[in-house]
Amino acid sequence: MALTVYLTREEVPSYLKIIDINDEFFDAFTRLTNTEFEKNLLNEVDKAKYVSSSTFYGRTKQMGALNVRCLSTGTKTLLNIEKWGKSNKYCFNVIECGDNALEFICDLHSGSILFEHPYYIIMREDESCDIECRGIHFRDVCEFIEWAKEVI
Amino acid sequence: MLIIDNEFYGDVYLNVKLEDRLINIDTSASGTGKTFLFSLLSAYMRVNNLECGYFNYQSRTIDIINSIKINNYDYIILDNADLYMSDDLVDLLQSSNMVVIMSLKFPFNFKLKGLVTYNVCYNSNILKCERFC
Repeated sequence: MALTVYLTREEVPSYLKIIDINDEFFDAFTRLTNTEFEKNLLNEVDKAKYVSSSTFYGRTKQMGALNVRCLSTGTKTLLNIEKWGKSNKYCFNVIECGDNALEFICDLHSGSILFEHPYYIIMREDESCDIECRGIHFRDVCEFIEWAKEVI
Repeated sequence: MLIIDNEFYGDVYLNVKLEDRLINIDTSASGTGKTFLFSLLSAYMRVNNLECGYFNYQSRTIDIINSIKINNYDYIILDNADLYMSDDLVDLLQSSNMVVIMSLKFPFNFKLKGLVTYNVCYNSNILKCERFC
């Protein structure tokens, strides 16, 4: 399996529901499970630490454990993809993800995303990925971004 | 201009300096504290008798447009603006006098003139927002 990337809405198959409002979806359906992916994402993007399925510690310790609704939209989007990817029911729009959250798509091996503006600043040294787009499989994220910019 | 100088508000020290009318908070990174800032700012404004409209992913474009037309906002906060921004809304924002603070990742999709980028920085218990240098 690979992360399937759609570059336009028209390409997304009808059996996949496009989720544009990731905050809403996350707040309703997604919870923390303390996976390695989740730990890295929470730490790097939100400076957060898992407490329970519904709470985390943020960067202001005096606030105590916060509800997961306080996580950033970028983090919520990536968690939606990670948790729901294998269900093959949803395509998550990553339009609201910052560059630091987007780089985590390189760690995903299932799920579908809508990526209408394929660019981001590469922050990692390791540029490997597992992305399929328009029938082509990419193992290098730079190659994918350069190809996507040409075809879109 | 709105200046909040190291005021303890909502469990953090708020440092805000808004010097422009059309403000876009830098959206290149997630987790910088944009939404937290917006929620504190809207509460701060209301407590200080400033008319403030606050809209986010739960808002619809038509409702925002209608709300602007009915209310006499001094400030309007538009979080997750990529989800609902439109040319009509841009025209309305451009022609109004209110201060607009938004998070819009792709402003080049719209004809927004005079948009200035601001930074948000949230560390420990300090939340800062000022013009991007």
